Amino acid sequence: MENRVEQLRKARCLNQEDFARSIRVSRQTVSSIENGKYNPSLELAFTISDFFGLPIDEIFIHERRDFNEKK
Amino acid sequence: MKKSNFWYGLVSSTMGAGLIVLGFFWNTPVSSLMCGCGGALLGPGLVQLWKYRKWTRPENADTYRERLEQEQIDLRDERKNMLRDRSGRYAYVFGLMLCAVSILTFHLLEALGIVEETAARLVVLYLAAYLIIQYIAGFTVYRWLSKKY
Repeated sequence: MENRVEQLRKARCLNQEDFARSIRVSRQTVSSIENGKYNPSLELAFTISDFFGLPIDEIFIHERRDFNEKK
Repeated sequence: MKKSNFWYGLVSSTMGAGLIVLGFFWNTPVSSLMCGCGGALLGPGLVQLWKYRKWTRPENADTYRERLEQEQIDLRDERKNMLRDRSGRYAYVFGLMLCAVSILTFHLLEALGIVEETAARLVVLYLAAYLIIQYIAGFTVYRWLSKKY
């Protein structure tokens, strides 16, 4: 899943270390989320969303699937 | 740092030193075991005392607070927890495989007459019991967790 965490963090002039400390995770976790290697849990995604003051779907880009689509 | 760390270090190192002295001067079949246990208590005990001395110094108070905070973050970090769980799973599977291979190896060594029959049988029985218990424990814990969540 793609995300805009790095872009939003940099826009607030925060380094990974400070951002990680603010949302109470390790710096490596922030790095993995930004690189797309790790998808955060719903709880952490909401924490990040609260931190940036943006809706979750504006930070984490999810390609929606149409379940009504005929196969 | 809590005072209990100091007491833990003191008791552990004193007991360790006592066991080493006892192991050296009291000639029994378990002397080497006493020395081993003594070393295992003395080492961590001394480290604990050194840590207590270092982190209770006023000039280290801020660094210690930061370290504690980072420790708490690392302990609760969801990615690190996931990695711990996953590495535990790999280690569990690897352990089961190693156990199975060891059983076969010892059986083979016994059949070839390289290892004494009684000793090999004992090792094979022990490893087989260990393998079964590990498997059952894994299965039981999974079912218990499955009911819980």
